Amino acid sequence: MAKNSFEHKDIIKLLSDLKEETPDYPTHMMSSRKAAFMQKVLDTKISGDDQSGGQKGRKAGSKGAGGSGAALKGGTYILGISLRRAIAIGVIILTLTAAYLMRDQIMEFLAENEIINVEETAATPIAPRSVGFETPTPTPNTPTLGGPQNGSSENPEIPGGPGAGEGPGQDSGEKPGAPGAPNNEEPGAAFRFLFCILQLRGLECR
Amino acid sequence: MQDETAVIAAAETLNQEALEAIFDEYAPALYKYALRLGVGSQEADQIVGDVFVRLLEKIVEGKGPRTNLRSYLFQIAYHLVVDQARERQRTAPLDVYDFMKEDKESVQAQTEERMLFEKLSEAMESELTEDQRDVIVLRFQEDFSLNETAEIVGKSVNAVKALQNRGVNKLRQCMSRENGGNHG
Repeated sequence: MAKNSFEHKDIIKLLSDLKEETPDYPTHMMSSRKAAFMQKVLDTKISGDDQSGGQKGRKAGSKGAGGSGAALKGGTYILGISLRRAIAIGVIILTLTAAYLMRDQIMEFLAENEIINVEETAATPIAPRSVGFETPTPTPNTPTLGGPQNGSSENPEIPGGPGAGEGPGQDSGEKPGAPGAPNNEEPGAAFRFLFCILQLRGLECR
Repeated sequence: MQDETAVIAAAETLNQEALEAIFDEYAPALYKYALRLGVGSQEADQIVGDVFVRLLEKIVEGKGPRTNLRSYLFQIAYHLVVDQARERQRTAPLDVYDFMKEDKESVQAQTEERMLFEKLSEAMESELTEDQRDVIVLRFQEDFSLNETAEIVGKSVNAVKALQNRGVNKLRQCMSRENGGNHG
Protein backbone atom coordinates (compact mmCIF):
# COMPACT_ATOMS: atom_id res chain seq x y z
CA MET A 1 0.00 0.00 0.00
CA ALA A 2 3.06 2.19 0.10
CA LYS A 3 2.74 4.96 -2.39
CA ASN A 4 4.01 8.46 -2.83
CA SER A 5 0.68 10.18 -3.59
CA PHE A 6 -2.60 9.70 -1.81
CA GLU A 7 -5.98 10.40 -3.28
CA HIS A 8 -8.95 11.69 -1.36
CA LYS A 9 -10.58 8.26 -1.26
CA ASP A 10 -7.36 6.68 0.04
CA ILE A 11 -7.32 8.95 3.04
CA ILE A 12 -10.97 8.21 3.73
CA LYS A 13 -10.31 4.50 3.54
CA LEU A 14 -7.34 4.82 5.85
CA LEU A 15 -9.45 6.77 8.32
CA SER A 16 -12.16 4.14 8.14
CA ASP A 17 -9.65 1.37 8.73
CA LEU A 18 -8.04 3.27 11.55
CA LYS A 19 -11.21 3.06 13.62
CA GLU A 20 -10.70 -0.68 13.86
CA GLU A 21 -7.48 -0.01 15.69
CA THR A 22 -9.27 1.70 18.52
CA PRO A 23 -9.26 -0.56 21.57
CA ASP A 24 -12.56 -1.78 22.98
CA TYR A 25 -14.11 -0.64 26.22
CA PRO A 26 -12.49 -2.80 28.91
CA THR A 27 -15.11 -5.13 30.36
CA HIS A 28 -14.38 -4.39 34.00
CA MET A 29 -14.52 -0.64 33.44
CA MET A 30 -17.73 -0.90 31.49
CA SER A 31 -19.45 -3.14 34.04
CA SER A 32 -18.56 -0.91 36.96
CA ARG A 33 -19.66 2.15 35.01
CA LYS A 34 -22.92 0.46 34.14
CA ALA A 35 -23.54 -0.53 37.75
CA ALA A 36 -22.97 3.04 38.85
CA PHE A 37 -25.35 4.29 36.18
CA MET A 38 -28.09 1.85 37.09
CA GLN A 39 -27.73 2.80 40.75
CA LYS A 40 -28.10 6.41 39.72
CA VAL A 41 -31.24 5.51 37.78
CA LEU A 42 -32.65 3.75 40.84
CA ASP A 43 -31.85 6.69 43.12
CA THR A 44 -33.41 9.13 40.69
CA LYS A 45 -36.52 7.01 40.45
CA ILE A 46 -36.83 6.72 44.24
CA SER A 47 -36.30 10.42 44.77
CA GLY A 48 -38.87 11.11 42.05
CA ASP A 49 -41.37 8.88 43.82
CA ASP A 50 -40.65 10.61 47.10
CA GLN A 51 -41.18 13.99 45.51
CA SER A 52 -44.51 12.96 43.99
CA GLY A 53 -45.53 11.43 47.32
CA GLY A 54 -44.48 14.58 49.09
CA GLN A 55 -46.59 16.65 46.74
CA LYS A 56 -49.60 14.47 47.48
CA GLY A 57 -48.89 14.77 51.19
CA ARG A 58 -48.63 18.53 50.92
CA LYS A 59 -51.98 18.66 49.12
CA ALA A 60 -53.60 16.55 51.83
CA GLY A 61 -51.95 18.67 54.48
CA SER A 62 -53.29 21.84 52.96
CA LYS A 63 -56.78 20.36 52.96
CA GLY A 64 -56.58 19.36 56.64
CA ALA A 65 -54.86 22.47 57.82
CA GLY A 66 -57.93 24.03 59.44
CA GLY A 67 -56.30 24.22 62.84
CA SER A 68 -53.31 26.14 61.71
CA GLY A 69 -55.54 28.35 59.61
CA ALA A 70 -57.72 29.10 62.61
CA ALA A 71 -54.66 29.89 64.67
CA LEU A 72 -53.49 32.21 61.92
CA LYS A 73 -56.87 33.90 61.82
CA GLY A 74 -56.88 34.24 65.63
CA GLY A 75 -53.44 35.79 65.57
CA THR A 76 -54.56 38.25 62.93
CA TYR A 77 -57.65 39.11 64.95
CA ILE A 78 -55.61 39.81 68.08
CA LEU A 79 -53.19 41.86 66.06
CA GLY A 80 -56.11 43.83 64.61
CA ILE A 81 -57.53 44.62 68.02
CA SER A 82 -54.15 45.69 69.33
CA LEU A 83 -53.66 47.89 66.31
CA ARG A 84 -57.06 49.52 66.79
CA ARG A 85 -56.32 50.20 70.44
CA ALA A 86 -52.96 51.68 69.60
CA ILE A 87 -54.56 53.94 66.99
CA ALA A 88 -57.26 55.07 69.43
CA ILE A 89 -54.70 55.86 72.12
CA GLY A 90 -52.62 57.73 69.58
CA VAL A 91 -55.59 59.81 68.49
CA ILE A 92 -56.44 60.70 72.10
CA ILE A 93 -52.85 61.70 72.82
CA LEU A 94 -52.73 63.83 69.69
CA THR A 95 -56.02 65.51 70.59
CA LEU A 96 -54.90 66.32 74.10
CA THR A 97 -51.57 67.62 72.85
CA ALA A 98 -53.29 69.84 70.30
CA ALA A 99 -55.71 71.11 72.94
CA TYR A 100 -52.82 71.94 75.26
CA LEU A 101 -50.89 73.76 72.55
CA MET A 102 -54.00 75.68 71.40
CA ARG A 103 -55.40 76.39 74.84
CA ASP A 104 -55.22 80.16 74.30
CA GLN A 105 -57.24 80.01 71.14
CA ILE A 106 -59.74 77.69 72.77
CA MET A 107 -60.23 79.95 75.74
CA GLU A 108 -60.63 82.96 73.44
CA PHE A 109 -63.19 81.10 71.41
CA LEU A 110 -65.14 80.11 74.50
CA ALA A 111 -65.04 83.63 75.83
CA GLU A 112 -66.18 85.15 72.56
CA ASN A 113 -69.10 82.80 72.39
CA GLU A 114 -69.95 83.47 76.04
CA ILE A 115 -69.70 79.86 76.90
CA ILE A 116 -67.54 80.95 79.78
CA ASN A 117 -68.13 84.34 81.33
CA VAL A 118 -64.75 85.92 81.54
CA GLU A 119 -64.68 89.53 82.52
CA GLU A 120 -62.00 91.74 81.22
CA THR A 121 -60.30 93.38 84.10
CA ALA A 122 -57.23 95.45 84.44
CA ALA A 123 -54.00 93.91 85.30
CA THR A 124 -54.29 92.76 88.82
CA PRO A 125 -51.29 93.38 90.92
CA ILE A 126 -51.22 91.00 93.78
CA ALA A 127 -51.87 92.57 97.08
CA PRO A 128 -48.70 92.89 99.06
CA ARG A 129 -48.48 90.86 102.13
CA SER A 130 -46.89 91.72 105.30
CA VAL A 131 -43.56 90.09 105.54
CA GLY A 132 -41.56 89.88 108.61
CA PHE A 133 -41.49 93.00 110.66
CA GLU A 134 -42.57 95.36 107.98
CA THR A 135 -45.43 97.50 108.87
CA PRO A 136 -48.39 96.54 106.86
CA THR A 137 -49.58 99.35 104.69
CA PRO A 138 -52.86 99.62 102.97
CA THR A 139 -52.78 98.98 99.27
CA PRO A 140 -54.51 101.72 97.45
CA ASN A 141 -56.46 101.25 94.27
CA THR A 142 -56.63 97.55 94.58
CA PRO A 143 -59.00 96.44 91.88
CA THR A 144 -62.19 94.86 92.81
CA LEU A 145 -62.37 91.19 92.37
CA GLY A 146 -65.37 89.05 92.49
CA GLY A 147 -67.52 90.72 89.94
CA PRO A 148 -69.14 94.12 89.72
CA GLN A 149 -69.87 95.59 92.98
CA ASN A 150 -71.18 98.90 94.00
CA GLY A 151 -69.38 100.95 96.54
CA SER A 152 -66.14 102.69 96.70
CA SER A 153 -64.42 100.98 99.49
CA GLU A 154 -60.75 101.71 99.51
CA ASN A 155 -59.95 98.41 101.01
CA PRO A 156 -60.33 95.56 98.66
CA GLU A 157 -62.83 93.06 99.59
CA ILE A 158 -61.24 89.73 99.57
CA PRO A 159 -63.83 87.18 100.28
CA GLY A 160 -62.86 84.47 102.56
CA GLY A 161 -59.56 86.08 103.28
CA PRO A 162 -58.20 86.67 106.67
CA GLY A 163 -60.32 89.21 108.30
CA ALA A 164 -62.72 89.34 105.51
CA GLY A 165 -64.42 92.66 105.25
CA GLU A 166 -61.56 94.29 107.04
CA GLY A 167 -58.45 95.64 105.48
CA PRO A 168 -55.17 94.50 106.73
CA GLY A 169 -53.64 96.65 109.25
CA GLN A 170 -56.96 97.75 110.60
CA ASP A 171 -57.02 97.32 114.26
CA SER A 172 -60.58 96.52 115.01
CA GLY A 173 -59.85 95.09 118.37
CA GLU A 174 -61.21 91.81 117.36
CA LYS A 175 -59.35 88.63 116.60
CA PRO A 176 -59.28 87.90 112.95
CA GLY A 177 -61.50 85.15 111.82
CA ALA A 178 -60.32 81.79 110.79
CA PRO A 179 -58.63 81.91 107.42
CA GLY A 180 -60.95 81.10 104.63
CA ALA A 181 -63.97 81.09 106.85
CA PRO A 182 -66.91 82.48 105.01
CA ASN A 183 -68.39 85.60 106.28
CA ASN A 184 -71.91 85.30 107.53
CA GLU A 185 -72.80 88.53 105.83
CA GLU A 186 -71.93 87.12 102.42
CA PRO A 187 -72.97 83.48 102.17
CA GLY A 188 -71.87 83.01 98.51
CA ALA A 189 -68.43 84.45 99.09
CA ALA A 190 -66.67 81.11 98.87
CA PHE A 191 -68.22 80.39 95.56
CA ARG A 192 -67.36 83.81 94.30
CA PHE A 193 -63.81 83.32 95.49
CA LEU A 194 -63.48 80.12 93.53
CA PHE A 195 -64.99 81.79 90.50
CA CYS A 196 -62.53 84.61 90.81
CA ILE A 197 -59.67 82.15 90.90
CA LEU A 198 -60.96 80.59 87.76
CA GLN A 199 -61.24 83.99 86.12
CA LEU A 200 -57.76 84.89 87.23
CA ARG A 201 -56.39 81.74 85.77
CA GLY A 202 -58.16 82.53 82.55
CA LEU A 203 -56.59 85.94 82.42
CA GLU A 204 -53.18 84.51 83.19
CA CYS A 205 -53.55 82.21 80.27
CA ARG A 206 -54.20 85.19 78.10
CA MET B 1 -31.94 -1.42 19.13
CA GLN B 2 -35.19 -2.39 17.46
CA ASP B 3 -37.46 0.54 18.00
CA GLU B 4 -35.59 3.60 19.15
CA THR B 5 -38.74 5.66 19.67
CA ALA B 6 -40.22 3.03 22.00
CA VAL B 7 -36.97 2.80 23.93
CA ILE B 8 -36.81 6.58 24.33
CA ALA B 9 -40.42 6.63 25.50
CA ALA B 10 -39.66 3.92 28.05
CA ALA B 11 -36.52 5.73 29.18
CA GLU B 12 -38.56 8.87 29.81
CA THR B 13 -40.45 6.94 32.47
CA LEU B 14 -37.09 5.92 33.99
CA ASN B 15 -37.64 2.33 32.91
CA GLN B 16 -34.52 0.50 34.07
CA GLU B 17 -34.53 -2.04 31.28
CA ALA B 18 -34.73 0.62 28.61
CA LEU B 19 -31.93 2.67 30.17
CA GLU B 20 -29.80 -0.44 30.55
CA ALA B 21 -30.33 -1.28 26.89
CA ILE B 22 -29.30 2.23 25.91
CA PHE B 23 -26.14 1.95 27.96
CA ASP B 24 -25.22 -1.43 26.47
CA GLU B 25 -25.82 -0.13 22.99
CA TYR B 26 -23.92 3.14 23.11
CA ALA B 27 -21.35 2.99 25.91
CA PRO B 28 -18.68 1.12 23.88
CA ALA B 29 -19.07 3.47 20.91
CA LEU B 30 -18.86 6.52 23.14
CA TYR B 31 -15.73 5.16 24.79
CA LYS B 32 -14.05 4.66 21.44
CA TYR B 33 -15.16 8.06 20.24
CA ALA B 34 -13.56 9.67 23.27
CA LEU B 35 -10.35 7.76 22.61
CA ARG B 36 -10.35 8.89 18.97
CA LEU B 37 -10.59 12.46 20.11
CA GLY B 38 -7.38 11.96 22.05
CA VAL B 39 -8.70 11.26 25.52
CA GLY B 40 -7.00 8.68 27.74
CA SER B 41 -8.75 5.45 28.70
CA GLN B 42 -9.55 6.53 32.26
CA GLU B 43 -10.89 9.86 31.09
CA ALA B 44 -12.87 8.18 28.32
CA ASP B 45 -14.50 5.94 30.93
CA GLN B 46 -15.32 9.01 32.98
CA ILE B 47 -16.79 10.72 29.95
CA VAL B 48 -19.03 7.73 29.28
CA GLY B 49 -20.34 7.95 32.83
CA ASP B 50 -20.88 11.69 32.52
CA VAL B 51 -22.75 11.26 29.24
CA PHE B 52 -25.28 8.91 30.78
CA VAL B 53 -25.67 10.96 33.92
CA ARG B 54 -26.38 13.99 31.70
CA LEU B 55 -28.90 11.92 29.75
CA LEU B 56 -30.64 11.00 32.98
CA GLU B 57 -30.77 14.60 34.11
CA LYS B 58 -32.26 15.70 30.81
CA ILE B 59 -34.89 12.97 30.99
CA VAL B 60 -35.86 14.03 34.52
CA GLU B 61 -36.10 17.65 33.35
CA GLY B 62 -38.31 16.55 30.49
CA LYS B 63 -35.73 17.71 27.95
CA GLY B 64 -34.56 14.31 26.81
CA PRO B 65 -34.06 13.25 23.21
CA ARG B 66 -37.06 12.69 20.98
CA THR B 67 -35.29 11.08 18.02
CA ASN B 68 -31.77 10.06 16.97
CA LEU B 69 -30.52 9.00 20.37
CA ARG B 70 -27.09 8.14 19.01
CA SER B 71 -26.50 11.63 17.66
CA TYR B 72 -27.79 13.07 20.94
CA LEU B 73 -25.37 11.03 23.04
CA PHE B 74 -22.40 11.80 20.79
CA GLN B 75 -23.25 15.46 20.98
CA ILE B 76 -23.04 15.32 24.78
CA ALA B 77 -19.77 13.41 24.56
CA TYR B 78 -18.34 15.89 22.06
CA HIS B 79 -19.06 18.85 24.34
CA LEU B 80 -17.61 17.04 27.34
CA VAL B 81 -14.42 16.24 25.44
CA VAL B 82 -14.13 19.80 24.15
CA ASP B 83 -14.59 21.17 27.66
CA GLN B 84 -12.02 18.74 28.99
CA ALA B 85 -9.57 19.63 26.21
CA ARG B 86 -9.93 23.32 27.02
CA GLU B 87 -9.27 22.55 30.65
CA ARG B 88 -6.22 20.50 29.79
CA GLN B 89 -4.80 23.16 27.49
CA ARG B 90 -4.19 25.31 30.54
CA THR B 91 -1.93 22.69 32.10
CA ALA B 92 -0.67 20.41 29.36
CA PRO B 93 -0.87 20.17 25.56
CA LEU B 94 -3.57 17.99 24.08
CA ASP B 95 -2.20 14.53 23.38
CA VAL B 96 -4.14 12.94 20.56
CA TYR B 97 -4.36 9.22 19.97
CA ASP B 98 -2.63 8.08 23.09
CA PHE B 99 -3.80 4.55 22.49
CA MET B 100 -1.73 4.35 19.32
CA LYS B 101 1.40 5.44 21.19
CA GLU B 102 0.72 2.97 23.97
CA ASP B 103 0.49 0.17 21.45
CA LYS B 104 3.60 1.28 19.57
CA GLU B 105 6.01 -0.04 22.14
CA SER B 106 4.19 -3.32 22.68
CA VAL B 107 4.00 -4.28 19.05
CA GLN B 108 7.28 -5.75 17.91
CA ALA B 109 6.65 -6.41 14.26
CA GLN B 110 4.97 -3.38 12.77
CA THR B 111 3.34 -3.95 9.46
CA GLU B 112 3.30 -1.44 6.67
CA GLU B 113 -0.34 -0.75 7.29
CA ARG B 114 0.31 -0.06 10.95
CA MET B 115 3.00 2.42 10.01
CA LEU B 116 0.50 4.17 7.79
CA PHE B 117 -1.94 4.33 10.66
CA GLU B 118 0.67 5.82 12.90
CA LYS B 119 1.57 8.43 10.32
CA LEU B 120 -2.06 9.22 9.78
CA SER B 121 -2.61 9.55 13.52
CA GLU B 122 0.37 11.83 13.89
CA ALA B 123 -0.83 13.91 10.95
CA MET B 124 -4.27 14.24 12.53
CA GLU B 125 -2.61 15.41 15.71
CA SER B 126 -0.12 17.83 14.24
CA GLU B 127 -1.61 19.06 10.97
CA LEU B 128 -5.32 19.41 11.62
CA THR B 129 -7.12 21.97 13.64
CA GLU B 130 -9.40 20.74 16.39
CA ASP B 131 -12.51 21.50 14.35
CA GLN B 132 -11.16 19.63 11.31
CA ARG B 133 -10.22 16.65 13.44
CA ASP B 134 -13.60 16.55 15.17
CA VAL B 135 -15.44 16.65 11.85
CA ILE B 136 -13.24 13.97 10.26
CA VAL B 137 -13.62 11.63 13.22
CA LEU B 138 -17.40 12.03 13.21
CA ARG B 139 -17.71 11.71 9.45
CA PHE B 140 -15.27 8.88 8.63
CA GLN B 141 -14.82 7.00 11.88
CA GLU B 142 -18.21 7.34 13.54
CA ASP B 143 -20.05 7.37 10.20
CA PHE B 144 -22.33 10.28 10.95
CA SER B 145 -23.99 12.11 8.07
CA LEU B 146 -23.22 15.72 7.25
CA ASN B 147 -26.41 16.87 8.95
CA GLU B 148 -25.76 14.84 12.09
CA THR B 149 -22.16 16.02 12.25
CA ALA B 150 -23.29 19.62 11.87
CA GLU B 151 -25.77 19.12 14.68
CA ILE B 152 -23.22 17.54 16.99
CA VAL B 153 -20.51 20.16 16.55
CA GLY B 154 -23.01 23.00 16.35
CA LYS B 155 -22.04 24.27 12.92
CA SER B 156 -23.75 24.62 9.57
CA VAL B 157 -23.61 21.86 7.00
CA ASN B 158 -21.54 24.03 4.66
CA ALA B 159 -19.07 24.76 7.41
CA VAL B 160 -18.78 21.05 8.12
CA LYS B 161 -18.21 20.37 4.42
CA ALA B 162 -15.47 22.98 4.28
CA LEU B 163 -13.79 21.64 7.43
CA GLN B 164 -13.97 18.12 6.09
CA ASN B 165 -12.44 18.99 2.69
CA ARG B 166 -9.65 21.08 4.16
CA GLY B 167 -8.85 18.38 6.71
CA VAL B 168 -8.73 15.57 4.19
CA ASN B 169 -6.56 17.65 1.85
CA LYS B 170 -4.14 18.39 4.63
CA LEU B 171 -3.92 14.72 5.55
CA ARG B 172 -3.43 13.77 1.93
CA GLN B 173 -0.60 16.25 1.45
CA CYS B 174 1.03 15.22 4.69
CA MET B 175 0.84 11.51 3.95
CA SER B 176 2.17 12.06 0.41
CA ARG B 177 5.02 14.14 1.76
CA GLU B 178 5.87 11.62 4.45
CA ASN B 179 5.83 8.67 2.07
CA GLY B 180 7.74 10.58 -0.57
CA GLY B 181 10.35 11.49 1.99
CA ASN B 182 10.64 7.91 3.17
CA HIS B 183 11.10 6.58 -0.30
CA GLY B 184 13.13 9.43 -1.67
